[in-house]
This record gives sequence, C-alpha cells and structure tokens, in this order.
Amino acid sequence: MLPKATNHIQIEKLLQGDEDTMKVLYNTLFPKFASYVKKNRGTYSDAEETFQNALFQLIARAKVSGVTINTSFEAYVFTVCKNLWLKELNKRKKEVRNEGVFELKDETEDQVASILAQERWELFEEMLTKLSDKCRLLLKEYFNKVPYHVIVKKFSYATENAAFQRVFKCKKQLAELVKNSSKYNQLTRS
Amino acid sequence: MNDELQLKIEQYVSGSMSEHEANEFEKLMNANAELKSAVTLSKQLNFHLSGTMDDTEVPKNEYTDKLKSFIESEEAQELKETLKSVQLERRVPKLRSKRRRFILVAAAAVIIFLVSAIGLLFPSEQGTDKLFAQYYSEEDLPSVIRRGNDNTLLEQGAVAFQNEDFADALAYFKEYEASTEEPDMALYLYKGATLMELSNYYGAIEEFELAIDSESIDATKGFWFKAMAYLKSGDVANAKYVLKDISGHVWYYNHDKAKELLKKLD
Repeated sequence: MLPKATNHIQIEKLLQGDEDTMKVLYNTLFPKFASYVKKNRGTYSDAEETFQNALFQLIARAKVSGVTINTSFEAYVFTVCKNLWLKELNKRKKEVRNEGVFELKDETEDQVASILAQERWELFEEMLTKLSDKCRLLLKEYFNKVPYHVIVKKFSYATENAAFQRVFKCKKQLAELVKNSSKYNQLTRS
Repeated sequence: MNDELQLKIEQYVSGSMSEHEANEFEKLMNANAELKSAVTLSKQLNFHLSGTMDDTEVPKNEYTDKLKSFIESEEAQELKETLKSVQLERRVPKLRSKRRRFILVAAAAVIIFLVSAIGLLFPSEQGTDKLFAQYYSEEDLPSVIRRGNDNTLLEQGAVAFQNEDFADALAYFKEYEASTEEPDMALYLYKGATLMELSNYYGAIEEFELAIDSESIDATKGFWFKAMAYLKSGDVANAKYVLKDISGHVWYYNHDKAKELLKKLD
C-alpha cells in the first residue's frame, strides 16, 4: 500500500522506518517539545511518550490516507505533538474532575482517536481560513473568554446582544463549512 | 437546521440549560441523528476555538478500520520498535554500545584484578566519590538574582538549596515552574542539583538536559552538571562519555576541568 498524498520526503522516510530521519527529529525537535511540555504541566517522560506516539500516529495516517503539509515539516510535526499533549491534558483534567464515565480504551482505539482528533483540528483550521477576518477574530476572542463589553468596543457593536448574535452567526457559518466537507464525514460518521 | 434549534444546541453545549431543559433536549437528540451530529460538531468546534482538543468517540467506518488494521500490523509494530530504540539512544547517547563496551572492559578489569591482585587500574566507588567532592561545586550554579520581582520563588528555592533544605527547595522550584510559561534556565540547573542531593540522579539528568536544550548563554553548564550527576551515581562510563563531549568543545563550560577529570577517570 503506497501513501496517497504525502508531499514531504521526510514522511516517506519515516514510513520506511529510516532511523536517520527519526534521529534528526529527536535531536532537533524533541528538545523544543520537551521544553513546551515541561512548561505546560508535564514531565520529561510525558514529552518522550507523547513525541513517540505523535510520530507513530503520523506514520499510520500517512500510510493509510496520506498527509499533505502546507508548512515546514518540523513546524507540522511540532503542531501534531503539541495537539496530542493538549488532548492528554484534557483527558487528565476530566479524570481529576471525574467527569462522566471513563471507559478503558485499548491502545489501538486510543491511537485512532488521536489521529482523528488531529485530522479534525487541521480541517477546522482550514475552514476557519474561509471565514472573514472579522468573523475569525471574533470567534477567537469570544472563545478565549474576552469579556463581552471588550468585544463590543473592539468590534464596534451597538450592544452585547448584537455581539452575541454575530458570534452565533459566525460559528453557524463555520459549522456549515465543516459539515459540508467530505473529510468531516470520514472523521465522524459510522 | 433553523436558528431556533441552533440556539438550543449552543445553550445545551455551553451548559446554560436548566436540568429539566437539558433532559428534554437529550430525549430529542437521541431520537434525531441529525441533531445529535450537530451537537457533536458544536462541541468539537468549541474545543477547537478554545485551544483544546476534543475526545470524540471513534466512529466505525472503512477509514477507521484501515487505521486500526495498520496500527496492529507487524509493519507498524516494527516501526514502533525503531522509534523506541531511537528514543532510548537519545536519552543516554550511545548508551547501549557504550554499555556493551563497558561490560567487556569491566570483565577485562576483573581478570586483570585477579591476576595482578591490585585494584588501582579503575576508579573505585570511593574514588568516584572523592573525585566528585573535588570537582563538584555549587559555585558553578548561576546567579538567580534578576531585575524585577519575577523570580521570587526561584530565589527562595535557591536560598533553601544553599541552606541544604532540599525538600523545601524542590517545592519552591516546582511552584516557580508551574507559575511561569518561560522559566529562567537557572531553574533547571538548581532543580537538577537539588534532585542530585536527594539521590534522584535520573531526575537530575532530565533537568540538566533541559538546561542544555534551553539554548541560553549558560546552556553548556548543563553538560558539566550532567557529568557530575553520572559521577555521583557511580556511572563512570556515562560520566566519561559526557566529559569527552565537553573536552571536544573548547567553548563548553569547564572544558579544561573536564579534560583533567577525564584523565583521572581513564
């Protein structure tokens, strides 16, 4: 089985199990990632585990559906690692709060869930670029918990209700864009 | 989907519905697959826009079956093993080959020892302790006094360290680390030195590696402290490996001392 849309030689090499490519990633990117994890409630061991899982998931995805990268390879891998760590943090936060019922997922299921989460992340980022600049910025401010009165002033809305309506419409527009993409069905529908 | 229903989805997802309203909405959702999908998407978008990652259940379809099948394949397991071995190699550079060589050298040493009945060819545990005492100095740790009050916790940690209250020092360093996005590089050296005092050598080495990776002006101090940690733990082979690295770079901290110590260990 050949990768379908892999546009980076490094991914091809990872797929072939090329140790030199892995070593380069471990020597250049891992230290930065370990620093990031340590600054974000993790340990060096967390960084090692996450980095390894992220590379493995990237390989699996490249093998099955291909990966198209629009930035540098290093920047892309760093984002994949960072997102996987955020997912892990979110999982730990839920466990601490004991929210909901936790099923013990097997390792394969967990790996697939992480691959799909990364693919959704990329899809959502892509769809966000299709919104107007104002809509995109408004959503980011709103979800970063910027107070309504600040949003009203910054975006020159007449009232807080007008600001809320705008947020609502922008999010609805984003949801429509995502829903209409064929990729989203593959990531969500059974 | 009309705006009224969309608004209800937002209320449900944001948790602003009353318990009764939420129960009614859930009944509606369980009977309407399209509504359920819209709720899932709304939650996923909220996660994304808030800068976190969602944890949606894995659907069962052709794509996920293919992923699972690859992940469980022999090819994937081999790739995983390769990744693991590269990671292990990085953790302690050339550890395995060094260790193999070390075992051979150690075996030879035992034979020589038995034949010559002297134990002076390789440094004894007492010898490494002596060398550590001779070469390790807290004065090699950087100053933590900075302009402004940002480093109060770090400074308190350093004071506790100097007073040999190592458990307190560690608590201050952890608190400082948790309180800042970009810790001062001195943290890693102090935290490593503290862990070393608490005999947690592996933890100390991790911290010194972070200092090395920090790309700060004092980053090469990390190599020296890492060598010291190996020496104190009695791991002469790895201490020598790090010291050789320092000896090979004139600009590394304590370059001359490293060369001198290496000679004594050889």
